[in-house]
Amino acid sequence: MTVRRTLVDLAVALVAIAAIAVVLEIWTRTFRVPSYLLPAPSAVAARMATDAGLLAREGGITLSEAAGGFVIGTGVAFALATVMASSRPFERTLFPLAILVKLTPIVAIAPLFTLWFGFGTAPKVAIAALITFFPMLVNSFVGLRSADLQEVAFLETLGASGREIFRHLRVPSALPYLFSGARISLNLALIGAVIGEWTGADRGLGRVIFVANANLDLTILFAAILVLATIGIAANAVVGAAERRVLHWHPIAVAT
Amino acid sequence: MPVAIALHHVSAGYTGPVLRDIDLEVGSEVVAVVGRSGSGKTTLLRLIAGLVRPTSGTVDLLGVAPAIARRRKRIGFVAQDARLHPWRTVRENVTLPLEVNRSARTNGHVSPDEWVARMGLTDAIDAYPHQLSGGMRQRVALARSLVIDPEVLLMDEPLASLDELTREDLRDELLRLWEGRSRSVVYVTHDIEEAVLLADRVIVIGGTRPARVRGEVRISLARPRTKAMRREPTFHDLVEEVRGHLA
Amino acid sequence: MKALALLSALVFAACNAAVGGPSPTPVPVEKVTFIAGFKPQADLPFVAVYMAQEKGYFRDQSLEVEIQHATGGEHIQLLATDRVQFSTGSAGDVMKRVASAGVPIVSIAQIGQRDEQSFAVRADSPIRTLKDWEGRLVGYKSTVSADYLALLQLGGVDRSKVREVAVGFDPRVLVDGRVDVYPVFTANEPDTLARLGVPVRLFDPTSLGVPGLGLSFITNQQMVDTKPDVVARFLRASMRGLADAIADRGAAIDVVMKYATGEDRAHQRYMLDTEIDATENDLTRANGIGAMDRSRYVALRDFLLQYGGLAKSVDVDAVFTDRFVKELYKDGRLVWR
Repeated sequence: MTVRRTLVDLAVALVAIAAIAVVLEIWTRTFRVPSYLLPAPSAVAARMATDAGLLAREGGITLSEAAGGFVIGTGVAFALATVMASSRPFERTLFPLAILVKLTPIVAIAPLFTLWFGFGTAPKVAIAALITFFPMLVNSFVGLRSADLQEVAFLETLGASGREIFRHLRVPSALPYLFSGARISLNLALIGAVIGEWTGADRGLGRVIFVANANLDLTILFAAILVLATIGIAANAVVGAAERRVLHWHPIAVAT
Repeated sequence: MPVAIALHHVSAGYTGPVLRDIDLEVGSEVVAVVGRSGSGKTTLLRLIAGLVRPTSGTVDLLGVAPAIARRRKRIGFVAQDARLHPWRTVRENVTLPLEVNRSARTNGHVSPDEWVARMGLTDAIDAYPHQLSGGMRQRVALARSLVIDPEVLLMDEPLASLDELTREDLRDELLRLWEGRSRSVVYVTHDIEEAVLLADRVIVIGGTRPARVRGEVRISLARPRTKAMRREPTFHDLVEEVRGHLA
Repeated sequence: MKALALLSALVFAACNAAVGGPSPTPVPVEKVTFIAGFKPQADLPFVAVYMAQEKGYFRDQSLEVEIQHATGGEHIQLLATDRVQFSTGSAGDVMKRVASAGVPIVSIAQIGQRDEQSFAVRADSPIRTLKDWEGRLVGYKSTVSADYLALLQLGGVDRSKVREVAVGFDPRVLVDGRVDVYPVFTANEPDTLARLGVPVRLFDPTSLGVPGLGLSFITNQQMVDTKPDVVARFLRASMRGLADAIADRGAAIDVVMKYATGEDRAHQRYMLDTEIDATENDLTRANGIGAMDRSRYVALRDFLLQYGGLAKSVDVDAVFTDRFVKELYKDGRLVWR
């Protein structure tokens, strides 16, 4: 049932994309739009074919940077949220700091990261981690706190330790929030990795986009963007599938 | 009868006093606590379990401080709308109390599966809470509180959120359960007739805040109790007696 | 009463006569937009336009010029679609655009007569010759440049022994030693680095014989074909502004600071001085600033082709035209009309 639904959704999406592509193709041909303003979809598709290897390799690099950053950002966020959920003073001190992190514009921080971490993958991973941090922190915190107080009392009545309550009640309660946070954060991490690559990189889709922009090569620019979007969609689908398995008991998951 | 639960001159409150000067002793019996909403009935249960500290007075549970009784896993607890863990099946929910605080040895001779059977839920043993009706969920809640075979059973309006027919069924269930094993049960309810039907004694608390013990009524009805007893005049008299203390 | 009326009529006539003056046949005012290729700063073509605007030279040429600045690289596309009419760009970039995408833009005055980029090493670095680059970390911005490859060949450097590192636009990487050789804009980062306490030495491609040209004024083919007089007027006013700037550099910086709010004045002055040095040579002294030498464009195109700066060849006459800048000067002096 769900597999069929997914295929139908996919088909609808593809039809929509194809329709837009057809309109753009007709437009660019009719009005002889030069490629440095808007490339024809056919040209972009052709470029994707000829540079498939390049796009796949560079896409893989950006994806690995984003994934690494996501894991680190989520790990730190969850650890911090655990501390914050267990102690009001910690919550009051850490939350403003977290907001400070969130409000700092990534584009301004990115060059500094390159300065501190060097030119390798480290600064890209760091930026992806940074951009992942705040949404996952909020979601983890709310999720851990969402544990039913009555249930906490029940477990306390049984003499359960704080660690047991955390493990048996708080973490499972937090899982739905973590998954919905992951949907947002994964895509943000991709963007973070791309921005990181703009400030000094020789690999990755961000670099391809940067160079393409400098050369006014819009065809490969759009090809790279499409590949990036595809990666983002695929990542989302993977998270969605994992969510449906892990959260099979969740009323919302059951309903969809 | 040895005293299992003892409250001496207990007062308690959060921002202001909720209960004042409560004296209560519970032995191997069923004591119902009735009162209007907000009269501190839930606070009373939390005091007994030691989840709330009294501002004055002492609370003893099986001769020790409630915290120690908790550590020894002697307390069973059923709430009004039991929040079973939605990620666990019926069997797993009933097994949960055995998974925590393992160092406390319990007297459980009866396995979780058997408790599920006793509740008539064997067909649903692999189901998840969202697939169960309210009545079924409360049965699971009962099972999981009894699986550790507690000497003390604290119940906070466990049937309040159910429809009348289900309530009747579950009352019969409770009476049946209590027949077997001697326990100290403190049963909070706002339903006077239910209190009279189930309990050996009914304690009335109330009055303007902070609440006090307004009165106590000994229920002289024979056991085992039956639904038919509700039509007897003695039953009616006892209900009126309790109601009198509530005024 | 009558005397008053007569007096006012006379005054009115006299005023009109003064305003009229020795005016040429009135030309309709043309509204154009100039977009500088980067943020506001003392790049020489920008300074020329700022000065011309300040001194009213555009108005004298019956032009109403709106000054914009590019934030990314959008100025090329805006110029190509005639959303703006004039901009700036290096000769090499113009060639690349025309070669790769057929972008219809063309250089009309060559302001920077030498390559605007060079390679910097720390003044205290042991790197003295090109050969010393072997075994070192050499940075490149976005892609490895033709300049770099030419320098390697010139210096007989074994490229496999050089460690090439992609760097961003932050020169501090040279300060903390993440790179040993850093690509700079000659008029810009050397001063920035000196201010950070890290003076540098430059490997300058033009001095070492590598073909290179700097910034030029550019316009689109449409303007060249349909409104050549507007192009001439724009250039004339800008060149007069440029001459004023060279004559009074302090005043020029005053004007620049009006646009470049928040920038460091001394740094802007450094930029101006360096670029003025780069705008004058024998050719311009004879033919005026902005003069264009076809052979140098050919040399630049061939050089870029050889070292991979151009994907395919381009007709040099499609990327520059000197017809406008030639008409501006007589015997090397600007003719003002």
